[in-house]
Amino acid sequence: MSATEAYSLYSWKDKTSEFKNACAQLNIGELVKEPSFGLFEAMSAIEMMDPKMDAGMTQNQTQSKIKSIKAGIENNLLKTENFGLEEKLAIVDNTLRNLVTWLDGSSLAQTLFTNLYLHDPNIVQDFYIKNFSIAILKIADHMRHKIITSATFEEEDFQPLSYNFKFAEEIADSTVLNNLKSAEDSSAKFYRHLKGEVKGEEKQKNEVEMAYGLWYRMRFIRSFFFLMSSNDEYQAFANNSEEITKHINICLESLTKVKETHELGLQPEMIKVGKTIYPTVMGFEPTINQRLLPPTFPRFIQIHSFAATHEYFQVLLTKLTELIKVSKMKTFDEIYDFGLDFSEIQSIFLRSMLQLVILPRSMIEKVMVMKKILLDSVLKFISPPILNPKCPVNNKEVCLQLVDSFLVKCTPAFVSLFQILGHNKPRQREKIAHVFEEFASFQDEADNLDSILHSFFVQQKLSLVHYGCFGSWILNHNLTLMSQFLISGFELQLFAKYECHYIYWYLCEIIVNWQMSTLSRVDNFLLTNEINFLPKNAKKPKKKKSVFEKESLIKTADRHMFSAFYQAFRAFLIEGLVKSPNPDFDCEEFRYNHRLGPFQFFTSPAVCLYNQFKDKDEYFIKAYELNKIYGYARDHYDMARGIYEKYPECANQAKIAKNNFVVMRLLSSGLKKLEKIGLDFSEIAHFPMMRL
Amino acid sequence: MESNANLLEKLSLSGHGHGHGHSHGHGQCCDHEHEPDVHIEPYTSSNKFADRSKFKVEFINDQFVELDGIRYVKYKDETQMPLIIDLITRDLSEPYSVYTYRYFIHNWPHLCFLAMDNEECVGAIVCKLDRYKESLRGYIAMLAVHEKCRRKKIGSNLVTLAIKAMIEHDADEVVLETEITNKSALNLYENLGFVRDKRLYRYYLNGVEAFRLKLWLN
Repeated sequence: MSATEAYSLYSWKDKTSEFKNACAQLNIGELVKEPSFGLFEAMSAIEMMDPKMDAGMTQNQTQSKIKSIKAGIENNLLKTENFGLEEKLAIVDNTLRNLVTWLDGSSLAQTLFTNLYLHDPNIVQDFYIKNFSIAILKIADHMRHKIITSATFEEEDFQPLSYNFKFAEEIADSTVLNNLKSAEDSSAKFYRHLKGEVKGEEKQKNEVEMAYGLWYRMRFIRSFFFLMSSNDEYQAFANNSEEITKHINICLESLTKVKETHELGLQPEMIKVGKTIYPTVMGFEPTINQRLLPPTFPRFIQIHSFAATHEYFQVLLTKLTELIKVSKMKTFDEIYDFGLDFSEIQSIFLRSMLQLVILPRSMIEKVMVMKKILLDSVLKFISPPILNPKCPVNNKEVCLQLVDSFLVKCTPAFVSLFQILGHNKPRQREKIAHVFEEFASFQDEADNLDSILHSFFVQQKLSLVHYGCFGSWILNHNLTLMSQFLISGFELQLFAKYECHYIYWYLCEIIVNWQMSTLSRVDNFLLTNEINFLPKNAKKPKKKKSVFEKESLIKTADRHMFSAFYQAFRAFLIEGLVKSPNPDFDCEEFRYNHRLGPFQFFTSPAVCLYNQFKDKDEYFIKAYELNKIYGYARDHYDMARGIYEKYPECANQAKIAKNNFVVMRLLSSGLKKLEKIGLDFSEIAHFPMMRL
Repeated sequence: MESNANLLEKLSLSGHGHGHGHSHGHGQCCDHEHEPDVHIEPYTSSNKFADRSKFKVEFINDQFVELDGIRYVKYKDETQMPLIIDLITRDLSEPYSVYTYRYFIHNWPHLCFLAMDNEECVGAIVCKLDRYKESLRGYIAMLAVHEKCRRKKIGSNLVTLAIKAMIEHDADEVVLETEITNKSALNLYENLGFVRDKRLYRYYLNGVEAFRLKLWLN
């Protein structure tokens, strides 16, 4: 409908002056509003036609040269065949840049689908660009599905909306793979042919190099497609790791060649749309999908540079190799520790892959696999006597069913906990706090189970012990969660310097103390039951080294560190090296209660109340002079260093302990008065390095 | 699957274990041998904001207070709106429509203050106060101080006035968001006792991360 037709159809009338007159009659501050459309709604509504507010206005400011792929072809604005090699390289590289930008949180409409060839790849005559385009569509679709299936993304991570774009659904993966194989073979042939013909002219040499670049682009996309097209990562990574490794290596090798030949491709023109600068080569139209964008504030996006794109793929492929290792891990603790480190990475795609490799896609299988993982974990941690094949108890079946129903109860929560690792770090912290209540309830369940099993042993006059078995396992696990929650506060830089002392105090006095006593109790438990399983007249084993020797020692060192930091930060506060907030509104008690409030559900250990902390804290600072407090911190750093130095993986901790020991020694000597202290949290977020 | 209760019946055991205490050595952070004998009064809980009237600010003629030559003025009417909008548009990263200002200022005029250097508006704060889950949450939506008047505590004074007004109206907490790169805002609020409650990944339109800062009033 044309503008004039629309105008006559609705018989528009200009009300501007009437409206302005009416407004002029209102007093200052008077407001006329429709009850169902108040100021809140008005605020949420966009301000029409203001390019700062109205995404549609961007379209009007920058007119697209090409309205659609068909129009582009008709007007000779884009080719579908007879591409120069430099154009082919540029189209491939620019598409990869857009793919990566999309995966990093932008919308498909503003990234990948600014490539018009992807709108209808079958129109393209060129064999390479056509197959590359189809492969990219399929890859994008597979990646999107993986991310959606793992369900660990938030709006800030990823935009799954497909805007009804077509992803070449009609073409089977196997066909794509075959075509990519042909594309790779024929590009290799073409390169060899060209190389044989060239006799040394610079221009021709360039052609050969570009043909080489094209070959490796086809090689890359073929292997990458293979890696992305799996629909069962759980099986593939566990059982087909050799093939996966082979393709990862091909991709990595090809990626290097793609980088080497990138400059030979046509360099993109930079087109500015709103605040975004789009690198544009033939076939791309930055504003083609503007009308699909939601009517909200235009989101500023930045298309990844080629270097960043290269790095993205390199990290992605290297991390996929790591995932092959994790698929071999058996216990929850191992997997969880791995996942914690792995989830540091920004890529939502990789975080999703972690989920898919560890647990199968279907919920039923997920639960089955997780239950097996938990069983292996509890066996490894505390080898419950009831699960020992030699356990002579009567009615063992019934006991095993009790154990089973306990594990069945816990499993879904562990599945969710593992899923949390797929989220970005700030969200992880929020979500962990939400599972505390459920995990706290498992403590009672576990204690109950132990006491039933134990009573049963007693009833049958068996000398085996079952107290503190499943209970210790859950307790140890819950303590790890609590510790992770507080440590993540440091990692996300949430704690002000004036808060650190009570966080360190809590870590040292409550969490690590409990962790250490739990480990030592488990040690005793294991020894006692080992003896009890022996025939009556067998020789008793000598007291062996603790199963947790290394873990306990590192915990001891951590405890010294937390203790030292508590003392140091406490002294800094007294001395004013760490500034206390203005007392008008600040209340340490409120801060403490809210920071540790998420632990309220736990009964083992119950959250330590502020007054209990305060009584100990007050006692400590009243009882000792500042020099003495620094002296205690110095000693604790020294003891921590002594332990850390035994383990090469704790080299960073040892370095910080040693450095802080020196600073504390100086402060405790009283020889130097400091004006300020530097605290560098960059090496280990919860163990800052002190600098004079 | 059989229920636990049935299983227990077979075992003729009660469903409630007697539980067992975990014995845990509670060494102190300063586990040292000879601890001095110091008398400490047991800590009693704080009721810092129990008497909210203590935080009421006395405005001269119910209009302004003066500090270091700057007048801090209560929001009066729409005529001040352009002053506020001008000042804030200058340095905020988010685009705001005029309705955003109206939404806050019309609904919570008592939580809006201007800093005036003679006739010139050199600072402004815009807030709201409403229910969020269980608590009454004050929210600092916008704070701006003119570039030439920085480092004179104008921002701090405006925030202080706003918090006092919120306390007077029974707020349980005060929150706001700021970019993690905005060191001066972080300093300002942290000096007043705000802490970083959450990190917000890619919070702003420009992709920058933010902190949610919070001041707990109970």
